[in-house]
Amino acid sequence: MRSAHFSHPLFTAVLKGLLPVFLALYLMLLDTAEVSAKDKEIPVGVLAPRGELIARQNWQPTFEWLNQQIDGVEFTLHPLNLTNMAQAVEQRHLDFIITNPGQAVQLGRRFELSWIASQNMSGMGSHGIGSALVVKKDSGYHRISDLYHKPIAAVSEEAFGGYLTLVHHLFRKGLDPIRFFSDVHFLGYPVDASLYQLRDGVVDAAVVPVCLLEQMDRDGLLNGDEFRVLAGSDGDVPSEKSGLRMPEPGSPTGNHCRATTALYPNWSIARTAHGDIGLAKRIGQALLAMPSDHSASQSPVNAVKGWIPPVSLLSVDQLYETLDLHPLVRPLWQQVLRWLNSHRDWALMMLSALLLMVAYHFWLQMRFKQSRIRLTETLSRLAEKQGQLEHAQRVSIVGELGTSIAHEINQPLSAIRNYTESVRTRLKKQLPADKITPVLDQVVTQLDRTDAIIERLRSLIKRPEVSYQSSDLQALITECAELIKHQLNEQGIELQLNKAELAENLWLDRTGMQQVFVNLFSNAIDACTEYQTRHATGEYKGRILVEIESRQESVMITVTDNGTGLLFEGYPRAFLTTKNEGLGLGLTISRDIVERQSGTLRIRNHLPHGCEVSLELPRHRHPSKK
Amino acid sequence: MQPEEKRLPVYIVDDDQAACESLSMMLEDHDFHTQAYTDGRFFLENYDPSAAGCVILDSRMPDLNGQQLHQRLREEGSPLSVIFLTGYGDVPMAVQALQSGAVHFFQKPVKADVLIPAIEDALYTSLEQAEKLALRKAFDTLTSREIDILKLLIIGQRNASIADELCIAVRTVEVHRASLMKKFAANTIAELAFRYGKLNETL
Repeated sequence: MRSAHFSHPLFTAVLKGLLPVFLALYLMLLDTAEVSAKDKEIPVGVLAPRGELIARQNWQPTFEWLNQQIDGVEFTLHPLNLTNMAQAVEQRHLDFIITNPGQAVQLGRRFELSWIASQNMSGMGSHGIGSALVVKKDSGYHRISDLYHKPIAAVSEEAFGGYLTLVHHLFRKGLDPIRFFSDVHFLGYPVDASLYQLRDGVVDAAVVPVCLLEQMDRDGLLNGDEFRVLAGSDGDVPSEKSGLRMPEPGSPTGNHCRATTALYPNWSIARTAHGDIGLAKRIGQALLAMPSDHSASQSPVNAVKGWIPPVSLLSVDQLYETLDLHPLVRPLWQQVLRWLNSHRDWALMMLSALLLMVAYHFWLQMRFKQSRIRLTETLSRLAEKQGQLEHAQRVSIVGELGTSIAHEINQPLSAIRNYTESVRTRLKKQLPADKITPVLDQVVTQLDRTDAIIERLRSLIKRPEVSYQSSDLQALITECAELIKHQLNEQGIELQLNKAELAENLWLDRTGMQQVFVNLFSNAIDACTEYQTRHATGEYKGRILVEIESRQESVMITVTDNGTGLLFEGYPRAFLTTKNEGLGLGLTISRDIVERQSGTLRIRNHLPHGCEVSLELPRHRHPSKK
Repeated sequence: MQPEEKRLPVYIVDDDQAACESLSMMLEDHDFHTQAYTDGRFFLENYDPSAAGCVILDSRMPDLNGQQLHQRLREEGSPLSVIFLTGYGDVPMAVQALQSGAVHFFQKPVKADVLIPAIEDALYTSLEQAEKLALRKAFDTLTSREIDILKLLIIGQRNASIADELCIAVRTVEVHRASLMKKFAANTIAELAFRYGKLNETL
């Protein structure tokens, strides 16, 4: 790590240029170490914009001077950056601080600071802080306006000698400092990096503290001839009252430093609340007494020419005030772009997260689509199954009706047999044709009767699909009663049908409605039989009453019996049966069939015993074919 | 077959009109004398309880079914022979019917060459049954004195010995004997004994 550090061209140059200074420092440190054994340590914070090493180089002569002039104490140097300085002051770790005017004002607003002295710079006097907007000498940029919508480099958004003063400068010129440059690369400390970026052509211009270019040139880090400092606009006249001094545009300020912006007071030393007043007085005396040719003031690095009484920081305060009144609100896209630049890892993570989310979204969408297709398929299969189930139930009805049907068919069949025997006998007796034809007519009648029975049965189990036909509801009910007639006879149950005046036919699923009525009648018969075997005394007679009532919009059919009644009242549910051989599907399927025709089916108990099924069918409904 | 039997009535009771009519027609063509009823109750109101004959019953009828009707006939002591016809044969019903005295039990549709001999058989049985019933009726009208004389007559005693044994006049025995012969419709003592024997079978 360390070797890597020293292999850097900057450090190599520093080492080569400053070897004598190092030696002097080394001796001085030895000396200080001897003194510190007996003296009280006084911590002094020093702002170190160019890093700790350079700060020590720059300030050690001053500290040496102070230690020489003031007995009994030992001043120790603490190089700090902007943030650490503020923290150290807040935590009262420091007795004195040396900082730039920007931070001096900022800290002065928050903490109790007494200004002791300000630096005096060779050729610049009390004001030597400002910004230089540096471009390459051979570039086409000659005024600030030439840099409109170009990228520049800067140290930090908070750097006073640098970005802030430039922003303030542009602001006073009536420009929007935020939108003026296409982008500002904040490179952070050390400030030297901005000029390297400019040299390498990454940016078109760099805003740096005044004198940095000249210092780096002197230190051999850069060739100063390759660069140029742009002049601030000549229309802007600094107010004398504010203590601002305007240098010659783009010209060397005294000791070869060029500035773009107005110049602000130099670095100052201040006593914190923790510092001793007496000591402050002695420091002030010592610094003011420092001869301008002393090694501390003659340091080639910061061109300091001794100290003077504290200079007003009003101009700096005003600058901050202006900027506070007009906060630096950047356009959203710039903020986002800057954030993205500085948080590349996060941005990448977010981007991948976003991509993942998008992919997930599409995956979900795909799954959703598949599910929907499956759902549709399932629904159609379900409908198909429902049809099959209904059909199965119809077949099961036919099964239940089997005995009944067999008997019913037997009647005409045996009649046919008898008539046929008669015909044979009469033929044998050679009776005339007029004795035979009537018998054959009887045979035909009986055959018709057989046909009708079979047809009724067939219509009940015909097809699983639903089809709507204009139907005579009462004829349909009569037909269903025929189907169960035998069971009624056998169980001695009476079925009474009270018809109503129905003007027109209804659109009905005929097969379905037959199934419904046969189901209802079968249930009623079962209930009556059950009641007879369980509870009835001699006088009981099963009765089924079918009433048809014509209403405004619908036809109401009520089937009432005097059987056992219901165990489960209300809405029919599947597989809920009280019968030993029942599927528990009759009522459920009947309900489905009725509801499919927009009708309703309700079932409830009837007093004293028995149940009542109310079936309402809409009157004018021509179902659209699906 | 004897014409006497053939003259006997054959009743048909079936709630199905076609079944009634067709069966009736077929049997008439075979020279039976049929009467068809579609309602059991109506039949009960109209038949002759003492006359011989045959009734063909449909076992499943509303209101009054075949079994119930058969029961009523037995209660009324009718000599009618019963033939059951059923739409859907079930064994327990057949067994019960035959146990309660039905002559035959057929499943519909029944063939004529099976049904007709069965009817003839039934008519014959009914005739016998009617005869027994008539004897029984005659026997029930006898006075105790007549019964005593009858028993002695059958074991072969003459009028005089009967009069001696019963301590009555011979003339009295002769009067009772004539009454007995008339009640049993017998011309000779042998005829009387034959009928009494027949009567004893049923008792």
